Parts: sequence; C-alpha cells; structure tokens
Amino acid sequence: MSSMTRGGLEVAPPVASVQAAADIQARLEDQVLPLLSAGISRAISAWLERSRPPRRDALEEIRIRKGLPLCMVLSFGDVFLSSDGAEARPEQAFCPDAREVERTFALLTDCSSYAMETELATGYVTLPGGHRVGLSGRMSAFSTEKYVLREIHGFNIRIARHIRGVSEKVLSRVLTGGPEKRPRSTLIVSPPRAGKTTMLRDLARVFSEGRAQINLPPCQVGIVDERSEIAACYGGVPQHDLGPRVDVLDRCPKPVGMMMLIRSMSPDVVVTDEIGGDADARACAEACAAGVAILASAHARDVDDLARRPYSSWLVEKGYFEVFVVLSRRNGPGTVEYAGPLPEGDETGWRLP
Amino acid sequence: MKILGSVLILISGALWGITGSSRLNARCRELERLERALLHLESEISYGLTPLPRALMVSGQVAGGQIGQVLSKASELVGRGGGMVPSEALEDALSQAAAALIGPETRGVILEMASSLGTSGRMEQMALIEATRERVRSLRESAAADAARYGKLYRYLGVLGAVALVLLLT
Repeated sequence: MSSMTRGGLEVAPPVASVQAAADIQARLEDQVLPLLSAGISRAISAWLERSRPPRRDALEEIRIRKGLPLCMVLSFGDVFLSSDGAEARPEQAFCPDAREVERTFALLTDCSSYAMETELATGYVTLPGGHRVGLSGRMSAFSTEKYVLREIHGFNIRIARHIRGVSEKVLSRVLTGGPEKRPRSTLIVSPPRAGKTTMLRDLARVFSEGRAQINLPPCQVGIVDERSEIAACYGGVPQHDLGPRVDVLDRCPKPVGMMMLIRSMSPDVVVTDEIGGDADARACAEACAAGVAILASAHARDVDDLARRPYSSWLVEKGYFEVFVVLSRRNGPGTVEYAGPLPEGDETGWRLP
Repeated sequence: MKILGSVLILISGALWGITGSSRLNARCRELERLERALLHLESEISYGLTPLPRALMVSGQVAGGQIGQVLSKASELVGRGGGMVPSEALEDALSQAAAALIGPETRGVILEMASSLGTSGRMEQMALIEATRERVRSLRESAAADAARYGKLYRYLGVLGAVALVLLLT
C-alpha cells in the first residue's frame, strides 16, 4: 500500500479491498440474473460459481452486446465468458444473439417499455437493488431535441455497491471546525468509475445519521438524483442505505430539483451528482447562496481540469465549494488523491502523477 | 316405463339444445369481456403508464370470466416477477383456458397482440391495442350473429331431435 500523501492526506486503500464481502453472488442471483435471457444468465451464474470471492467481488459491470462476446468488467480488467461460464478468448466466447438481447430488454424493462420512455430517452434503467443498466442501440429522433432508443443492441449492467465507510478518510475534511460540526459545501472530482457516487452516497448517509462521537448532529439531507444513481430509487424507495433523514427527488433535473428541495423540504445538505453544464453550476451557486451545504460531484481528472471548463471554472474560482475531494483509480476505485480546500499557488497539489 | 323413457329423451334433447345455444352466447360474452379488458388495458397503459404485469392483472379483474382468468394468470407469469415475455405468458395462460369459450381465432388475435405488447412506446401500444380491439369487436359481432342464428337452431334441433327419437322408438 502506498504511503504517499496528497494535500496532507494519506492515500486511501482501494475501495475493493475496503468493501465488506457483501455477497455479490447472492445479490446477482436474486436481483439481476432472473432478468437476463437463459443463455446469458447461465454463463454468468456458472462464472460466479467458478470464481473465488476476491475475483467475484471485483466485478463492476456486465457488458452484453448483440453478436459480441459476453464481457465481465472487473476492477482490474475484463474477461470474456464462454457459454459454460469459463473465462475465454474473445473468439471462443459466448455471443448473445438478437433473440437473447430482445428477451433481456423485455425482462429488464418489466415488459413495459412504454412506462420507461423517460428512462429510455436518458439511456438507462434502474433495477431492484439499485443496479443501473445503460443501454445502447439505434436512436430515433422525434424532433431536434427529443431522441429515443428504439432498437436495443447492448446493455451495461453496473453493479450497485453498498459500501459503508468509504467516506471515513475524508470525513474530517468535509466538516467545519468548532465544537459542533456541520457539513461544508464539497465537490467530489474524478474521472468515470473512480467512486464519486459511492463517496457521495456514504457522505450523505453519515450526514443523515449524524455522529455523536465527533459532535456531528444529524442533518436533513435532500438528494436531487437526476440519473437515479445516488439513491437508485426503485418504485420510489431508495435501494441504498442513506440514513433516516433523506428526501429524494428522483430523476429530477438538477436546476429544478435543487431549488424545489430548498423551498419545500428545508434540507441542511443538498446532494447531487455530476454537475455537467452551466445550468447545473448556477443551481449549485444559488443553493450555496441560500445557506445550504452542497455535496456534489463532477467528471474531471483533477480540479485543474475542472477549472478549465467554462461552466465550472467560475464555480471553483468564486469559492462556492469550500472543500474538494479528488478521487482516482490509481490504487483501485475510490483512491483518495486529495481532500481539502483549494490550495493557493500550488497547482501541482491537484494533479495526479 | 315407456313414458318415463320418452320424457327423459325429450329432456336430454332440450338440454343438449340449450347447452349448445348457451355455449354460443358464452363465447359472445367472453368476447365482450375481452373487448372491455382491452379498453381497460389501453387506458392503464396510456394514462397510468402502469407496468404490464399490473395492467394485465387490473384488466383481468375488470373483465372477469374466462378472459379475466387468462389475463390474471398471464400477469403472474410476465415480466420481472414471472420471467416470461408477454407472448409466452399469454400462450401459457390461454393453454389452460377452455377452448370452447376462447376459440382459435380469438387466441390468434390475442397472441398476435402479445408478440408486440410492452415492446414499444405509449402511442404505439395504444395503436396496437386499438387495432386488436377492432378485430375483437368484429369477432364479437360475428359471434353474436352466430349465437342469434344457431342458438335457436340448437334449441329446436334438440327438442325436435328428441321428439323424432321418441317417435322412432315408440
């Protein structure tokens, strides 16, 4: 384990090694495999049987593509599966056909794609257990702005993780000083698949539960879950443990949802995922100005990268966020590279090696 | 004894005729129920955006009768809960239904709809169900005409056949 420090913080061990051995096999067999066609389900089930727990627990995604090899994405690489669940070379791997992909799509959407037009327009659906299925296929345009996926060709099933405790390393940095702690506005920055949402979720849980040992009183937490990923609501119920004081606006656009939550639910903290444009950034700024702590994430390699983008540069420069947490996959997903305020005159402090 | 036998033959003939006639009427009623169920299914899908398993269950409850049982059974089998696609679920449910009440033409119409049920957007589903309802209406009208024409025939045939048999035997 690296003993390297960044921003005065010891680099955290990989999330994969931190996470409790939540039985991924049982969760997949219960929540995901029944929704896949028989051939795909059989191959994955056999792979789960064959694999030892460290390998099995490293599973992050299942990628199913019409006519292409069935692929399991692990935290350290990916493997292709043969029809009997053995790891195979791409040319020997099991390739789901059109019928299997169609059947899988029908089951994933509960045979109700008409009821999921909003989800299909955004390109993903949420499953029981909070697993998220990204979709690819042929887009149909209804107008210059409205596109809907028509023929589905592929799925990316992202396995939801319930990882408690990943925020422990950064918790003291995201709280104010003084006798009674309160959350500070924090922006979590990382490239994709580095654990931003997992970190957001765990911080939301800690704020919602409160912690007497460090004088952190419980907070009312409002979540604007535009992509249904933080709470992963299924049938209106969060599929992740977010503590007892959480209100979720599911699939609500951030600019609308943040102000709606502030007006209607009086939260102490507003949590939202992936600030991705000018309207999102302005909504964050407005919420900060309303006296609410914002806990948000953004896609970027580091804060320098974030500061180069027009929509977010002023958000960083104006100081709306008091704390920045930079994550990477250097030692596995969730490696904390930095946690603290914007450093002055030391740009290298942000950069990853 | 002879009189008792003749009475029994007459009663049996009349019952045969009534049964045949009521079978035609029952088929007509099932088609009416199917039409009602499709109307309800359409509104569940278009206004409620109700997931298909629940939409089928509610439509089945509204319809009642043999069709209601078919839809309720299909609702248990379809989707995430039962692991079947609509065509498989409805085929399975129809295989357990009485063939006399839901004829091969009606089954064909239901299964044709099932092959596209739940696979497209709201507007396409509404058009699909509307088209199916039109076909069911046409089947029902034809069944009603059959019931009116052949219902009487069955009843007369039953009684007259029994009378002829009694006369032959005596």
